[in-house]
Amino acid sequence: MKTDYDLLIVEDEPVVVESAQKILTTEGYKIDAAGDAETALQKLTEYSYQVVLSDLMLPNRDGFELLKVVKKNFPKTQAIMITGYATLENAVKSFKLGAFDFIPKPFDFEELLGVTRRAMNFSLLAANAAQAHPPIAANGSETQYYFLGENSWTKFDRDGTMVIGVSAIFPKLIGEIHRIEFPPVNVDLQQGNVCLRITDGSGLVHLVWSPISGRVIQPNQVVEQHYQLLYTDPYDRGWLVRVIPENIELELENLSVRVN
Amino acid sequence: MLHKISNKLILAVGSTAITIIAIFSYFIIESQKQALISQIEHNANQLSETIKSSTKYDMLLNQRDGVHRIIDTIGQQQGIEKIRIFNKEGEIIYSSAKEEIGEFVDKQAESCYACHAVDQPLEKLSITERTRIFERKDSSLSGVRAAPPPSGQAGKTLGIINPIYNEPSCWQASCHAHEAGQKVLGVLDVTMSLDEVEAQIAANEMRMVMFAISAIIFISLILWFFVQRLVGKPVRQLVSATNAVACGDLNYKIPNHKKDELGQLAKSFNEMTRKLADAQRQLIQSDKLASLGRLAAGVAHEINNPLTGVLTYSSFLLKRANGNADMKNDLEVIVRETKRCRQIVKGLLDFARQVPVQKTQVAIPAVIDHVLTIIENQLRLKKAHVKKEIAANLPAIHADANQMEQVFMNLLVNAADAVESEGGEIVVAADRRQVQGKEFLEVKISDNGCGIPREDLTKIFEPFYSTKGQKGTGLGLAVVWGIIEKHGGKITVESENGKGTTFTVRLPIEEHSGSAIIRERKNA
Repeated sequence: MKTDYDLLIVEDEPVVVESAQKILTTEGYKIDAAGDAETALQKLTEYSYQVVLSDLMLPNRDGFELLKVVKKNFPKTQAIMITGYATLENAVKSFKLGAFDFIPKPFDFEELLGVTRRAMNFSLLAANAAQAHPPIAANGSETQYYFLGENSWTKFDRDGTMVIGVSAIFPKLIGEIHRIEFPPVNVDLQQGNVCLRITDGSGLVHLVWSPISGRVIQPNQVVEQHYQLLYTDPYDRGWLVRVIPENIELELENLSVRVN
Repeated sequence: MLHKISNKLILAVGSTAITIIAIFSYFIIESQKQALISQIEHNANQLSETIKSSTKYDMLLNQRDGVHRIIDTIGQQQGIEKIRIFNKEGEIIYSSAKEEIGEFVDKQAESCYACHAVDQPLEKLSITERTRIFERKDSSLSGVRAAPPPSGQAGKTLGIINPIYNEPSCWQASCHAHEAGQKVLGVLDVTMSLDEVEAQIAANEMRMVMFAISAIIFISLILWFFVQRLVGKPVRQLVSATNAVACGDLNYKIPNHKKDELGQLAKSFNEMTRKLADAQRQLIQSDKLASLGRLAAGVAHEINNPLTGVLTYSSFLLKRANGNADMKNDLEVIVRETKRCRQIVKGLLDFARQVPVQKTQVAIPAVIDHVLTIIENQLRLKKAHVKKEIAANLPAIHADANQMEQVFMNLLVNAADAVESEGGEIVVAADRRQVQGKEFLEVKISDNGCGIPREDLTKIFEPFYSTKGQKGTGLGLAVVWGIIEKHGGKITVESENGKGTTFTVRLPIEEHSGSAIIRERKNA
């Protein structure tokens, strides 16, 4: 089966399909579109796609069902879920079912292209499993890391605080980091909502989801000065935000644990 | 009419009064009657003794004229019907009614019966045995044509017989009319009219009846008055209150009730309607919030798609408009405003989303402090002075920390918005409070700002009601209300236009630890 298309957009709302198609086509991607899950699955058997960009709310079979089939039958195809609204439930469920990431509606040009580019890059990397999931090379102690998909992680730190960072693969998929928008101190983060916005060299926006709810007490000023820490030491010195967690006991269950 | 309590009471008390007065009157009149009759009896006896002794001399001398004169003279006195003397054979030998003289009376007649009832005549009789009362019409002496009463009317008479005993002087008298062996020589019979006594008794009876009637009327009136005052009026008030409530007016209050049982009933009725109104308000409010939440969620989801179209196209155009500064500026406005729309929709969905309450042990004073640091800038800008009156050792309560923060954030931001730019003061007070046996943590947030007009006080917790115009979404207090309700608490507001507003939040203090709850939920 040859690669016929880069992306398959599964969305029943014409204006969203058209705009996404226009943007992504202009960026040089080869796009196909389907109005519902059945058509999408039909197309997936006929052609090959690197990335499926699917709405969660579809007529008849919803996006989660499509995601399950994609992950089972087309493991090399990455899935980005479009949600009507970023909620913890949608985020966690998408990640648990193996989605690469999700993007809440309404999104802009930069956000759409950002996540698509990362997914495309990941799809290339996924051919090499070791590269896609690099080991957590930290200081050697047995620390538990709690991951929200391929997006972000958190771990316990001193004085009952927790630190949040991005997974090692994330900066690699972005390429060059131009700017990181840290959340202001004292703001409350919600699990599954936006924690940081990373702008890459070409102006695309990459959203980092907060893996836990909590109050921001400190951004990592070292990273603020030296973005390259995200590439060199993403699991230790490359943490991004320190928070006082609010509901860890309930929220950690939503995350996947990896031990160093 | 008869079903009215007052009438029933009057009927019951009236009939009781009638019975009591009737029995009472009967005994009074009866005893008066007895007293009067014995008085008459006594008088008659005395009279007959007088006649006997005054005629004794003439009798001994056998001077019949003298006896006649005495009897006639005495017989003319008022009240004396007649005076007769019978001899042993029953012949009337003297009488104040002359035509009777010489006639015989039957021994079975009333005058004779007392002694002659038995075969052997009795010789000694007590005064009561000697007395008899009879109707004047049926003559007491059968065989004797009764004399018509002087008044010509029917009436009762009292007769008294006085036996004339044989004495030595009688048989030793010159006439030797009687033999020594005889014991009773004859009988003196005095008959007296009872008309006057009867009239007196009748008058007494009449007085008694009049008294009884007026007493009953008087008692009934007093009873009616008090029943009206103590029962009728409050009952009417209660009836009209229940009718008003039945018609849906839950704000109806029974005015100035007394301290008696009906007053207590009115008080508890007022309390009941107040609670009903509260419950109804809460129900309406939750219902409104729920349906508005659904509406907001629906609208937000629908709007998200066209908004995506606008945002993607405009940001895409912006990206491509690098060469054209004018167009770039315009497109930037479109993108910025569309992103603002996105924030509004996010707010709506935040409001609509049924965020599960994640309760832990929350120290409310710490939450308040945190909120105050967040809005520090806003307060400084307004030059508002914040005064904290937070009691020491307040217990942590079982609540969702984020939602509590949202509550106090919204309330404090509102307070900051309400105060003037000079001299604004916001007081945050927190303390324990017992309400109906339950313990609550009470937080009062007061400002000396513009206040809320009375007519708007009921609307402020409604979604999309805002006084801030373009600045607010009108969801703040609705969200606060929803959160407090979910926590089993209560929020109330007092405000005086131009003077300031006080919001009072009450949250229940529960006695179990947060970790226990979390464990429960994990197991569930």
